[in-house]
Amino acid sequence: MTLTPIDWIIIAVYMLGCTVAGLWMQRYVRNVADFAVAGREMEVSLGVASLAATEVGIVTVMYTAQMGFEHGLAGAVPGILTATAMLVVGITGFVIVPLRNAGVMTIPELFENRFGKRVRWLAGMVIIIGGVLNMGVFLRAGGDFLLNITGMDSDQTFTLSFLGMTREVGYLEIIMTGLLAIVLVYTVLGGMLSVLITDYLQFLVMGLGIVVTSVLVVWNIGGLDFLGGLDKVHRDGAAYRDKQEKPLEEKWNKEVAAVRQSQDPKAAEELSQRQRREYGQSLQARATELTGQGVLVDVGKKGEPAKAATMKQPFDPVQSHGLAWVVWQAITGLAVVTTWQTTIARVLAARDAQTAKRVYRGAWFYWVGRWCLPGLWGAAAFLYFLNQGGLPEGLSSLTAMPRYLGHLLRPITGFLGLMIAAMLAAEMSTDSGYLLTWATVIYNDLINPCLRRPMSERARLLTVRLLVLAIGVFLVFWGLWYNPPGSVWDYLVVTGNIYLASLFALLVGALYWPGANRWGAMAAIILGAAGPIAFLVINGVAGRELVPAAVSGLAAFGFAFAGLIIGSLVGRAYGRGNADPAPAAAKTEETRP
Amino acid sequence: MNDPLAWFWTAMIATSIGWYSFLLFYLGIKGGFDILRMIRVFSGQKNQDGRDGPPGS
Repeated sequence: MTLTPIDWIIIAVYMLGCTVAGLWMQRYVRNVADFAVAGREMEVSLGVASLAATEVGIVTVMYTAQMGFEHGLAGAVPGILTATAMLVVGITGFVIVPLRNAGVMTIPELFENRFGKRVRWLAGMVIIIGGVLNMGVFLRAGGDFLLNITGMDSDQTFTLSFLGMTREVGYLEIIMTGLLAIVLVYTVLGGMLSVLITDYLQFLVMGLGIVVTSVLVVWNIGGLDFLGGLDKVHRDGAAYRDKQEKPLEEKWNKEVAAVRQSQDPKAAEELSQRQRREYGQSLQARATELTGQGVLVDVGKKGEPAKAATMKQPFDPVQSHGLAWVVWQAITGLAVVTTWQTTIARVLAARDAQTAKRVYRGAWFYWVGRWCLPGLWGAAAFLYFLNQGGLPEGLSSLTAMPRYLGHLLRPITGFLGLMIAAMLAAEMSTDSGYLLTWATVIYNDLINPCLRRPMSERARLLTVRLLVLAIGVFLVFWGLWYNPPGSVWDYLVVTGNIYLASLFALLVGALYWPGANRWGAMAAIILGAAGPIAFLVINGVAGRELVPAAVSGLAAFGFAFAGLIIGSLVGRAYGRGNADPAPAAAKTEETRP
Repeated sequence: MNDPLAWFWTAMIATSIGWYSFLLFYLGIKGGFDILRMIRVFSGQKNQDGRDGPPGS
């Protein structure tokens, strides 16, 4: 731990100010509408600040930097695509205007009016599965950042003695559980009102930290030399892959195929693992020498063989990622700005549809910086460790950036404290916004439609607060032990696609296609969710990325739209598929505008 | 560097730093006023509720 007293004071002042402000707002919460959508009293500037703060968490900074580390500046292309989508939606009002005018509190609530309560319930379930799984990596990524920027390893532990029992406890688990506990306290009590106020403070602290750090990184990497450096390491790394890794992989594949034919698949799999383990060991032995060839040896995850990390094409997204991946990101970007519940929550909390459009027009460019600036930090970290003779033991493409920033900021008193406060702000605003959003969906779309009689206002409020708490507890257990295979960004997009694909198709159908009906809606939800869930299960069982994320993501959108169209046409042909009437308890009159 | 895409990304990074700096001041001031207005609205509603009876009744 390398923090000075001034760093600690900056962090303490921020944490105290934020917690007090969050708790202060709970006095104004009177009902679920105040709690979930701040009584629809949010104005444009506060909306932009809140949206920006919620959509930038530590996990955002970590995965965008990881993309920068692996793909250079081209890693930021999802930011450009999403920003463009947000600008277009902000100008045209596509989806968000009819959605806000419907006066609903969540997206599934809109579906009930069109497709019936079963579709609302199923859509709510898909949102929860996708949303909560998506949030599952937030805590670990946040802990990775906080520990590595202070020079500690992610798996560092201390011994805790209590009532004669001793136990090894990880710093990461303790820090992130404590941070989540603070967020839970003010979110459970103040709901969206507390979230808006704390988001505003967090926007200021986070923005200051990001600007100061980016200026220092630009100063440190030396402008034009940096562009030339990225280009050179890409060429060196590509030459290494072509001359050394590709022939080796071809040789391995032939050996494994021969064993598979003569013996059994298990022996072939063992041979494949042994080949990769031995290659990993040889990489580790040559780590310093390989930096001269544009290669960093990544020994990140425990139990996995070391890998050669090289810089892909650092400027051209299509060459760097492939066309299918870029197309998938473009579609996902449009789906995110029209469907992602935490983003849409700001549309639904806006005073009217015009305010919602203005929030989008004000926030769109924020997405560019959200990707470009941490992406720059990640790319700079690659060059930094290449010049330092390789990645230190235990660092990976994910954790290299915070360690680099630690080296960069530590010599300037107070800057490390500012950056940590900024990232705590980023994490807290994201966690609070997401917790509130998913709890609101569970209450509004899973519990409420099943009730025969409406709950009292007090019981509703208590239920949503308990749901926020329950999701928080779930996250502590799921989020701190699960390690996704592949890049964090791909995990986030695939889990997000569980509901993005199906609900995007459904939302467009519900708002713009009179022919859409209940059969089509059900087919879209099930088929859209099936692809990403299959991806998670197959890759989880295999322990590596067998199905490429882009294939899974594009298939999800294709299946969802095909399901909507074919299901609706079949439903119409059989004279079925019209919405079933909703019971009185499912209505949420208090949320109508 | 003659790659136009390298210059495109450089422009995006420079504009992002400038835009974030501007938003920090602009939204810092305007967002603060939005919060004050929102608190006034909720304070008024709370006082109204206090005269009318407990919320949700």
